[in-house]
Amino acid sequence: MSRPDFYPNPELEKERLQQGFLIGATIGFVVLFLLRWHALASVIFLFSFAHFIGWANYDRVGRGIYVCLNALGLAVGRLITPIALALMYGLAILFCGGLLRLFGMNRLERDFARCKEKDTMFYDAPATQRGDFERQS
Amino acid sequence: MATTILGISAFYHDSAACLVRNGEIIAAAEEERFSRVKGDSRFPRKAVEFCLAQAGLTPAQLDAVAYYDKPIQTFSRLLQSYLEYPLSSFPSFRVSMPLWIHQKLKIPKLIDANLSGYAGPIYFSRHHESHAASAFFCSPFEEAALLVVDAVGEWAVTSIGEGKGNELRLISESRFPHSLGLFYSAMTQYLGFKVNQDEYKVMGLAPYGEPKYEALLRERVIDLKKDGSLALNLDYFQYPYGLQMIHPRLEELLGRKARAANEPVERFHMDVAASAQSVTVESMIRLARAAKNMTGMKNLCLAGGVALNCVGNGAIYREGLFDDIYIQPAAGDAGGAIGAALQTWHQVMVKPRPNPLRDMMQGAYLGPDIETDGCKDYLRGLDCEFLEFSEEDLPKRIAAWIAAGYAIGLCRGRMEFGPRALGARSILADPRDPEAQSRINLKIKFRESFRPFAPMILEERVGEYFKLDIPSPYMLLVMPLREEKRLNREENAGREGFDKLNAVRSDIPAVTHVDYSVRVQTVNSERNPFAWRVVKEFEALTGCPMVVNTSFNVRGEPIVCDHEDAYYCFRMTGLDILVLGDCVVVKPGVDLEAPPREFASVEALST
Repeated sequence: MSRPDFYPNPELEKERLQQGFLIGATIGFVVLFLLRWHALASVIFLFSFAHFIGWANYDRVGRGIYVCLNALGLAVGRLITPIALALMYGLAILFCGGLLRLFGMNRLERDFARCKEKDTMFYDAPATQRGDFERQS
Repeated sequence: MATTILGISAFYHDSAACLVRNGEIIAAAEEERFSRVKGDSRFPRKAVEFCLAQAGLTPAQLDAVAYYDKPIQTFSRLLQSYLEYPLSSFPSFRVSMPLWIHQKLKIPKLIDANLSGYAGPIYFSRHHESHAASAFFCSPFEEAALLVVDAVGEWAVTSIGEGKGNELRLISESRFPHSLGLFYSAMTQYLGFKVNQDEYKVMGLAPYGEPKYEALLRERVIDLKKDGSLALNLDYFQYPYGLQMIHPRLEELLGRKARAANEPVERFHMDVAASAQSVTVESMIRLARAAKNMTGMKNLCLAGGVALNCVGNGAIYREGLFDDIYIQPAAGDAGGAIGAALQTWHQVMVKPRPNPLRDMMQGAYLGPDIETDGCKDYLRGLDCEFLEFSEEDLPKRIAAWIAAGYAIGLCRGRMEFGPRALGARSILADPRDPEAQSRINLKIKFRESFRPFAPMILEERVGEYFKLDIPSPYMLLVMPLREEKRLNREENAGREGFDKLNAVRSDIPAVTHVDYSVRVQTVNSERNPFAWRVVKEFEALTGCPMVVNTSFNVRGEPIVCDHEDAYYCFRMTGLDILVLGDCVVVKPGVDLEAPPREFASVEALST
């Protein structure tokens, strides 16, 4: 799993702090003026402001803020990732897989008794054309 | 103008990089040798750096990058497996999805990020085509049957094809999850060894046992077809959807829990290993026969992780189905880097193969070189006393030290590519010494006492010991010792399990396995000039045309790469002498002028 890189890289860190500020401010305005969720907008503005301070004063406090925000992001990610994965799994695998199995999907040829009846497990290999090398699939 | 292609294999296991210039392999290395992480699967950043430095290039000067796999096809196979096991695949899903989302589905981005300045195309070969290309395009054959057997690549687990000139075509394939490689890995896990790393331990353990469970396995677990393809009973395995290879039902079937890594190896485990090995060998022979029948070719090229099963390779050779066999020395995933690069050269850029054809692997000496000056500076920096010998004198000295009973760590010339040490990063010892096997296993390599060693034998004398008419330069054929070279057959037949280790089986006991088999590496003066001279000098001193050759590492560590790794390993182990380039470091108590030891010949021992 990719992890935040805490090795100092001032250029990259400044760029990310700037991005965080702009994205945070944009989302904050949307939440405040369109959705009118004032409490959430305040929290978002707070984080956006922290990014701004880090970016504008990078030489003095930028790295500290960057590391703190990353550590916070990592902690939140640790909490959210399993939930997001469980949701993805529930919708994409459990639900769809259950349905597909009901309809008899058996690409893996799971039935050993039926496999035993076959003379071979070989299939024709797909042909490769020159253009195929340019694709990942 | 020269065309350079960088081949990359990564993100599964044994990541590696290779640089091909105008169809010639300039450099190749596995990442683990630099990172010192065994089986390192990360992007091969250091291996790429080495390859580029070897050719004096920057990434911007590359003409193409070739990746050895089709990641989206592999991802679709993974999703399909999860969909077919919706109630049990969450643990594997939870582990693998973040990896796929952050890494494996972003291969072009990762390549761009690691090859700053490169703006050329990225080509993707199919996994089994990379393997097939790594064997065929490196072989000296104009045309050949191709057999790829490994765990899995995209959907394919075994492929048969043919190569002609600069083209290769896969004809048939069997598909996941019915895989010989995965079956063998599952049995490796059952026996308490590491998957994707320790399969060769199962192969080494098998001769101690009897294939008592083969019939049971073939009835309930694995259905072997006449053409070598197979169906697995997935009730006994979890690998299609889980984090473990085996299902508890396999333990119930075999009547015992899987062995934990710290538990002793017992007779039962030897018998299970023998059974798994026997099924594997039978399957490999049938597959080779099917390849012969499908293609009608006279030569065979083998690749894929299962092609590192040298017992199976030897059995295929002895079947006499083919005139000649070429096995890619880096038959596992690392070799895919070479295959992808060569396939790009021959099939994307449509370039001809060299004329005359030859073994493109150059003895597998494709890694970083050892500079004697660098070694001297390093040793001086450590205040370490060392001797220096000329290149002409050194082989004679090394041979004399081996004959005197010393174990030598040899780190000289370009490092080998692939899992075998072939005389550049090797530990050498006297094969006539009955104590050598246990001494090297226990005091130098700190590994299991049952593991056999291989000899490096003069190509011109290999026929005296084995019925072998083709060279085996990459230590990938196991051959039975000739009958006339065997000792104490009746006495040995009565021994069981590890007690077999106590018997003297030949006058080269350190390299004769308990079933009188030997994993052979042949050396000649062209392919391996330095190693050949060492063995030649040893022969002149003792009459014995071989020395023990085992990889220069300790248990669980990658083979040493540079002088620092070699010196560290030397200091940490019971090695007596270290050869670094032309420098020699000696442990206290070693007598460099000691005379050669005498051992009785097989003729004297049999009377």
